[in-house]
Amino acid sequence: MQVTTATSDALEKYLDLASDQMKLTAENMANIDTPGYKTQGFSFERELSQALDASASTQTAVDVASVDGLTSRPDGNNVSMDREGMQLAKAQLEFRAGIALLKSENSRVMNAIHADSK
Amino acid sequence: MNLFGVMDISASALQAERVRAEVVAANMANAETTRTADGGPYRRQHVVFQEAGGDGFAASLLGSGGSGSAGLGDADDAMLPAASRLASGMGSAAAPGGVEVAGVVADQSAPLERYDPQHPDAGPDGYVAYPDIEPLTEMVDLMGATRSYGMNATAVQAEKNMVMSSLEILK
Amino acid sequence: MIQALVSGLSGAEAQLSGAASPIAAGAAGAATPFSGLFQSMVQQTSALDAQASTAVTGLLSGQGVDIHDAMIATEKADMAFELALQVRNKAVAAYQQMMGMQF
Repeated sequence: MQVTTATSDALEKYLDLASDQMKLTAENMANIDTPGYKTQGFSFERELSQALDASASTQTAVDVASVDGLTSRPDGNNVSMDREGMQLAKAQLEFRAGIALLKSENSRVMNAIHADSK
Repeated sequence: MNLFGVMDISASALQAERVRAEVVAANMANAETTRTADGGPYRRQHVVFQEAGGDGFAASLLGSGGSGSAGLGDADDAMLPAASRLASGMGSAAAPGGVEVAGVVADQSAPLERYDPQHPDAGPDGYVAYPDIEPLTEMVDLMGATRSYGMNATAVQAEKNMVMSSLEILK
Repeated sequence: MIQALVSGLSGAEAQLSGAASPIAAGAAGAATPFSGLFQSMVQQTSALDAQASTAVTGLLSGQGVDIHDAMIATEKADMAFELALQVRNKAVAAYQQMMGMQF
């Protein structure tokens, strides 16, 4: 017996990744004035496909690394306000979209369970 | 670290930027101060930021994260009253991955000398030592602090938004 | 409280399997006994409920549990419980209907 569909499992992992993205963006934003700090990031698509392929029980760690292609300021900091602002908005929207889709998925299952009830 | 922990990170940034703004305000207010408690002219203050918790953030992101054990770094006795309030008030460790004020250090460069023998603080050679503070530099620093503060405040809003929307799962 | 309800379900299941076995024995070699299916459902509901408890406790105590993880675990436990409940209701109704048949 399974109350979760493949879609809702995928959505769970999607939500986890969106929330990880938010955490990382918050850290980058907080350290925008720290000398020598390099922007940290991860590839959302790669992590999502990895999470979907792996078995349900194993929790693989998110691969956080320094982001390439950013210019450093004289104090060694390479955090870009624009990039982080965009990442923030994106993560927020991804999270909300995931929640809405999960809700609709769950309500479908609940409707199926309560099919014959009055 | 959960989503509430993320608010701690942004909160640490807000606190740090505020300290920076206070330092700028003190510098601008004391731009002409020739006399201080420990003699000599006022010295320009710098804020030094550092990442709290070191590289414990990546580890704490991946689930069971211990809290960073970073406290405030050693600060000189040239610390501003505001920053020392920060040091004693922050009993708990800063959030791993957040930012903390490593210290508020005084500029050690030579003060600006102006010739004015009539001034009460003039030296034997008739020169008065003034702090070497450029109003323009301080204003640019303040603008930077304001912008960073606004950005991190937006981040707090976004995080709050995410938590609120996750409440809808159970509706 | 959920634990009490789940054990109530198991009680009903035991009763049902006890009553159903003479009927099942009568039927020509039933391959998958209903009682086994229902047993596994109750176990899974119990497991999901325990998971939800852990998640919520973790959230409340400020450890690394995300709020959406706790919400999802709670929702899963709810759905599993609802499903088990509906299956029980249907099974009981079917049993009663069969008992009421005139031969």
